[in-house]
Amino acid sequence: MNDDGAGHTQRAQTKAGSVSTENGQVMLDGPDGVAVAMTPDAAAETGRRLIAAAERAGAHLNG
Amino acid sequence: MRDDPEAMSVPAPDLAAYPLTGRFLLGRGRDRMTAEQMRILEDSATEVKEYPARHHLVRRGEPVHMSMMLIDGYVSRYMDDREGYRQLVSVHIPGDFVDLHGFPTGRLDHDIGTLGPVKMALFDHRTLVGITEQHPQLTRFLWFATLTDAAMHREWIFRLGRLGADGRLAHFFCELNARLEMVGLAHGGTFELPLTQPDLAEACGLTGVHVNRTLRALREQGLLTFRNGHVEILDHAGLCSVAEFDSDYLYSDCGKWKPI
Repeated sequence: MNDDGAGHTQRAQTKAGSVSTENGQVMLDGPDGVAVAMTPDAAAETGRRLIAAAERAGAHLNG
Repeated sequence: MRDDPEAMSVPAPDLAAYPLTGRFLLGRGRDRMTAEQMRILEDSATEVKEYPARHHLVRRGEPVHMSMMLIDGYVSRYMDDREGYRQLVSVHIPGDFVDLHGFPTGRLDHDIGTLGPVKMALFDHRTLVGITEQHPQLTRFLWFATLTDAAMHREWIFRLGRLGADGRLAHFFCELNARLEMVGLAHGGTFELPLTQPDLAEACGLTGVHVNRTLRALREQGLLTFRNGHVEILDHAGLCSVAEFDSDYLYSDCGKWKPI
């Protein structure tokens, strides 16, 4: 287990994933090992949930 | 940095003397087998069978009394989820002892099926008992073969857990290229691989559309082409870099981890 303080343990990503479309699917690549394809509806709903969760997490960080 | 820019150079298989088992451990230990050990293994094959493409060979959980060494063609081990979606957990090439692990376990925890037409040498487990009891050095080679299988499984876990779509596909092709080079079936980064894009998707945990798009990206980056089952690696170092691929885990005779 890599927990030597060198910054290589699994941590929340600071870089956004790359998003693209192909043949009516939405593809999210990265960060890390993320590689997922979704229908447009699933991608849109996931996006809404991500934004809502990001706002809650941001509020938590800002006290 | 996991990066493996070196191509391999290995001896040609002696298929005239050992038509069934001549590729077993070729490029990773066969040169340490004696002629007697090679002969014992060759003569231990109980029968040879041919199977068509997309044929089910072994189902998960059923008792097995034979182990199969692949002579020609490609085979996959796989597991299906409750909805029937498939994950390939390994792809086997000529020279692989596909289910030698079924000898001590008596059953397999996965299915096995052919990808294209194949030719198999079958080894009755009673014959393998004789080898393990009478030929300990040959037994160690068989053990080594299953351990390199396990090393590949670990690498596949790494691939699926840490790499994105481009890395997963790149790694898959890098590994197949390295393994096929060892057994004389890949040359200069070119080899035949009778897999479809859905097969690649099942091996790499991606959708077929995602595979299609990623293959196009790899082609546009000048790294690899995959058309009609024909693979051509255009930039070996570049592909290995995308894949974070280092072939040490294959224990090649040309690598720095060659067993002493």
